[in-house]
Amino acid sequence: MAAAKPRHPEHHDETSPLEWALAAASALLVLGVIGFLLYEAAAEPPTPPAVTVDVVGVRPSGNGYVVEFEAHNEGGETAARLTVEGTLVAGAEEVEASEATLDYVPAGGRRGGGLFFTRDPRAYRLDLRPTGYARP
Amino acid sequence: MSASSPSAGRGSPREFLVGLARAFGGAILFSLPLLMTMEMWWLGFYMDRHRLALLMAVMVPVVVVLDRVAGFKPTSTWAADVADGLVAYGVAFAAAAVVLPLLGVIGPGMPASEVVGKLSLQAVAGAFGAVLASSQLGGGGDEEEGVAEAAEERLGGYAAEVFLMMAGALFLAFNVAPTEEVVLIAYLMTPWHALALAAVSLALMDAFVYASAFRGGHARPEGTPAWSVFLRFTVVGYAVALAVSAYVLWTFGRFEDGTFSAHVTMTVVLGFPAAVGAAAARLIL
Repeated sequence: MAAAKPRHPEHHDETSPLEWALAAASALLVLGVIGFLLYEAAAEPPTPPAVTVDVVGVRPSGNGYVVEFEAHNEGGETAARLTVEGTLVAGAEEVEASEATLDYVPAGGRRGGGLFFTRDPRAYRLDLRPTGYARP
Repeated sequence: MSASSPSAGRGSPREFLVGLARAFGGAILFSLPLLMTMEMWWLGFYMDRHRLALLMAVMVPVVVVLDRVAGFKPTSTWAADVADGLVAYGVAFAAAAVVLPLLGVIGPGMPASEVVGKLSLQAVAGAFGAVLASSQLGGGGDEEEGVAEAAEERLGGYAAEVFLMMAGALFLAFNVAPTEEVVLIAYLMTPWHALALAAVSLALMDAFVYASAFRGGHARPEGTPAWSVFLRFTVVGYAVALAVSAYVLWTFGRFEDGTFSAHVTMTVVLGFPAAVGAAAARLIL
């Protein structure tokens, strides 16, 4: 049947080599995605979010200052509604505290945010730490 | 990937590229609402990986059969449909891979898991568009024959009809399910609301079935009693819509908590758009 010349040219639906090549590439892509997802699923049970918060920069903002930070989740689970608390410390005394909430920090992902302070954070010791999250 | 103008020769590279462009446009058209839905991005990285992998696998036969049922090539072989369906799926991935970075939803520094998850979810919606683009947006040439008739020749009338209802339900349920509203609406509703919604869904489907009967393609054979049509199309269609809704809700992890009755209500809520999708698929295609 494949060798027979089509009687009606309008009905010959020979699939071109180009299309077969793309079909094969697509099949590989779909299989690759499924394989990757299964590999992820089969990997050891996801570890809870492990979030580190790094200061990206401090600059004046409005009537005060903003500390831009980036939260990096090195755990295996996504952290939803991650709260980040920043405190300015002088000696043993906490001078000022601010808090920000990030919607989502995916496993292995980074999300940025900012904390506002009225005092210049550069004049104090700045502590940043994640305080909590919800499971998505 | 199916429509071809008879004279141009389907095998020609130009024809194929035009088909690809059409499929690309269709993929974007059909996935646009979801490309811009933030719950879809989030689900892309946090939804269960087994279920996402299963959804990806389920879509392969769906696009292939959809190409067979909704394509305009009466003599098409299954092999050609497999090629067409797979290419459409690949094009849907490509469309998502172009649009999501453009919107800043995918960017450098994101883990592979997040990128793959976001793209695969969008590819599901896009694949419907990519397959249908060729049959709906393409010039049908002189092959004026409707999809439904062509489908009946190729797949057996009733099986094709039920498949079309399933595909329509899947597409609409998939579009609505990612948002939080489905869960919220289920909580707002009393059991009476749910019953009323189920009744309205059924009535709406029946209306669609009758509407489609006027278009020739789905004309009821002479002497078929109304209750038979109601049972074979409306009731079966609604059951398919509910099953598809439950599957989509389960896929998105909506059944993880809450009571069984809440899950049933959610299924009825999502069954409403799914029923409309199921009925419309028979009417439109």
